[in-house]
Amino acid sequence: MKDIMKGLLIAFTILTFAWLLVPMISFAEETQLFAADHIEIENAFAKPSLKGQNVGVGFVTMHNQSDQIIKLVSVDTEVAMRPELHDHIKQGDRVMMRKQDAIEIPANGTTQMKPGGLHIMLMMLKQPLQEGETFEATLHFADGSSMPVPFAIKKP
Amino acid sequence: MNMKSITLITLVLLIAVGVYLAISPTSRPSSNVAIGGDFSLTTPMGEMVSNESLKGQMRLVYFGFTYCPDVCPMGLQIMQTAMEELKDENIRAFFITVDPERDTPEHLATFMENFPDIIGLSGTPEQIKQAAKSYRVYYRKVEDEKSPDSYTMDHTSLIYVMDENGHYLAHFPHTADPRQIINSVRKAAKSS
Repeated sequence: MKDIMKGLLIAFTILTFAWLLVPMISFAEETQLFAADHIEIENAFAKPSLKGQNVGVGFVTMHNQSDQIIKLVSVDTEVAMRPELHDHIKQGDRVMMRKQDAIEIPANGTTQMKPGGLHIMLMMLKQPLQEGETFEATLHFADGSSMPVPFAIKKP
Repeated sequence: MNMKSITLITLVLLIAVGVYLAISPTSRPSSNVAIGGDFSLTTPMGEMVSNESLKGQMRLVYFGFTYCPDVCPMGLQIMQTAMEELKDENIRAFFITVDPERDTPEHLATFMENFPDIIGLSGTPEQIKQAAKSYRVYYRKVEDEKSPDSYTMDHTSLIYVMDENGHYLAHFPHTADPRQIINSVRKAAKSS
């Protein structure tokens, strides 16, 4: 009798947890594609790579059309072995480049990457970036969603 | 007002002026600023270049590194544009690497093909340190613990205009309009 009670109690506990977890899982599923669905991309481009240069640099303007902060956390692309998010910091006449763990796009706001500022550093280029061509890069956001973006290779 | 108070006021004013002069910034750019001086570096072709060997020629000088994808090419492009306009002047343009570890002579030679009127210069770490010291240029290797096989360089990003004796004339940021550099060179060439 005691064992039956114990079993019932365990079963009840498991069911309660399951009942609580199900809506959480479905909520997560609902929001998974949130970021990518609310970002509008403008002027995605990369500078043509120079002779002898195996690093490239890409830029994109992101408009956040939601009421939440969206974070860009990584980029991957066919053209570079290691694309990273970077920022330029200027201290007087000194320039410093620093890796960023994420780039925030404010709620209902815009984040613009541009030469001398935030950029996608295309480290270890697999091929030269030729002016006039395009390549695809995938932007990955903090909520796990992602979106492919065509980058035009052109001078800024 | 008696003599004593006049003396006292004068004294207080003199001290105030003295203190102001002592604490006010003194780094006004002029040809007397000690930027430039001894250096000895090598072109990718093996030519030795020093302050002495360039005597009689004006110079544009920029310090950077070739793995810099954004800022350095901007500075070099401005210099290249200026040099194309300054073909009739006795002037040479130099790009001094602060990253001799990766900017080997072969690599520098290839990279400089992007900027045909600028000469790449490198040397031993000590020679580069000396050149940077002469130009009051700061640089530092920065390693990223997340990607230990790569590093970046922090550096002063200024284009220096130097006269035919290697004395400082002016400096411009990598975002300058090439016309500013052209005007600065032409003005100096006319007055010399």
